[in-house]
Amino acid sequence: MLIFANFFQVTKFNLFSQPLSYQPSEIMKTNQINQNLETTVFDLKNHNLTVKVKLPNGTILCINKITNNNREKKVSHHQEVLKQIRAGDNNSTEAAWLLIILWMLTQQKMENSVEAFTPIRPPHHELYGSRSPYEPRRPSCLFDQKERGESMSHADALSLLENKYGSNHITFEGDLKISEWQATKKICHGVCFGIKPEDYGAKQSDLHRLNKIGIARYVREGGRLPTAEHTRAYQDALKDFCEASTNLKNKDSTFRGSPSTTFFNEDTYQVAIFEPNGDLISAYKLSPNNADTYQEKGTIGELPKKF
Amino acid sequence: MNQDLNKKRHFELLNYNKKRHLELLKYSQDLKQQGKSIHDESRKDYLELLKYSAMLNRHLYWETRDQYLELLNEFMEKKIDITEFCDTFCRRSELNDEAVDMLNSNLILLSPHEKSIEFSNFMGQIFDCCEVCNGDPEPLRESYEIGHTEFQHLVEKIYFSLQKFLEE
Repeated sequence: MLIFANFFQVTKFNLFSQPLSYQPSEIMKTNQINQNLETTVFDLKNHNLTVKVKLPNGTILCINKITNNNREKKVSHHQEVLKQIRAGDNNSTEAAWLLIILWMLTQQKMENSVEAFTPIRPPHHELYGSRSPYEPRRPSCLFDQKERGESMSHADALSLLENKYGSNHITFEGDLKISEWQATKKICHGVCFGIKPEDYGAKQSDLHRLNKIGIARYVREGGRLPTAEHTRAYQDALKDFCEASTNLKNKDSTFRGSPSTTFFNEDTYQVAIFEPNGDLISAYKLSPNNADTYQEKGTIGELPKKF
Repeated sequence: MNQDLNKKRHFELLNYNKKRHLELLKYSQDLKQQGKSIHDESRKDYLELLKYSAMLNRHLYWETRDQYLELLNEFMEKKIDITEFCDTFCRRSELNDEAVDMLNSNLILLSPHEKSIEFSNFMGQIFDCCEVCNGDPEPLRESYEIGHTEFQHLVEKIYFSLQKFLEE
């Protein structure tokens, strides 16, 4: 194991410590980076990578055609080697583990490298054109001032959001409600339900930022809001998910210790969580670990309210 | 994490049956090929297989602990902000989850480490912090959401508890 740990360090350094400053279309080939790593081919344009690892016994372990385009991955292994590393073969379990680490690191690094920085434009420029001089202003308040680096005041941001979303929502199953506001806040999880941001001219990194810094602050900073079609597609996907007969509804679940209603898919571990009043809390995909906890206790969220 | 559940998981880990895990994986794959699902055929088998997948998932958290710790250190030293921390943390966890699928589909099993249970509990708490983090001022936050100050405070607490756990 120690040998592999050392090997991993060397490989990790050689593979990923180089600054990713080359152009996305550039293809970098590195032959025999060290004794163990046979060949590595990066193709950043097509997000492909081939890794071949030479084992001490001379066998070559291969992961190729790792594609990270639209989250669809194709991973194939050398079948002969696979037979050796399947359960029970202790000699090569570490090698298998090494490949997984390489694969995970590569996925992350490639994803970071292809996300180009794009300027964020104030949403009011795109959504409504320039701000109208006739638009009534709200009374001055503590937040009604622009802060450094922000393109509009808090009051203006709220006004814009109220205009865009108001209390628009869809309802289903009687009392369940997905407001446009909440769907927009959580739209970064749309990928878990097949909603691809790029189909709506959005970037996942922007949606993550919206989710973390808050929708009002995101707008104040000039972040571009998802389009109405994008939000609606996410709302519809969640509605379809909850209405599908294959997904289990649990009215006695808890989210962070508070009562909730949860819809759960036992195959994919997707969940949609609602407050007791029917408002959407969030919807995403649980890890196998969290899915196991949910099946065992009906709870989601390990964070205690009072830490 | 509930103490009883923790104890139960430790018991399951001590009695981890690789042969049975493999058997269930093959059974599940056979059913999939027939267009069926294991949870429709046998609830007991489904839950047992889920337990094994969760065990593997926790072990992957444990095996990648250095990367999580590095990320936590960067956040504690304020080298990265909340957005970057949460993004990277969640992406790393997604990759772990995807790795479980990859291992399962190729029938590759790893022996879970006993510390993986507590470690993944800590990671679960951080994931929750990220999930409910909202930087908007209080009137715009839901009751279950936390602001950036609280997020910082909670992650610090988890970080110190985690350090203590790893030193044990």
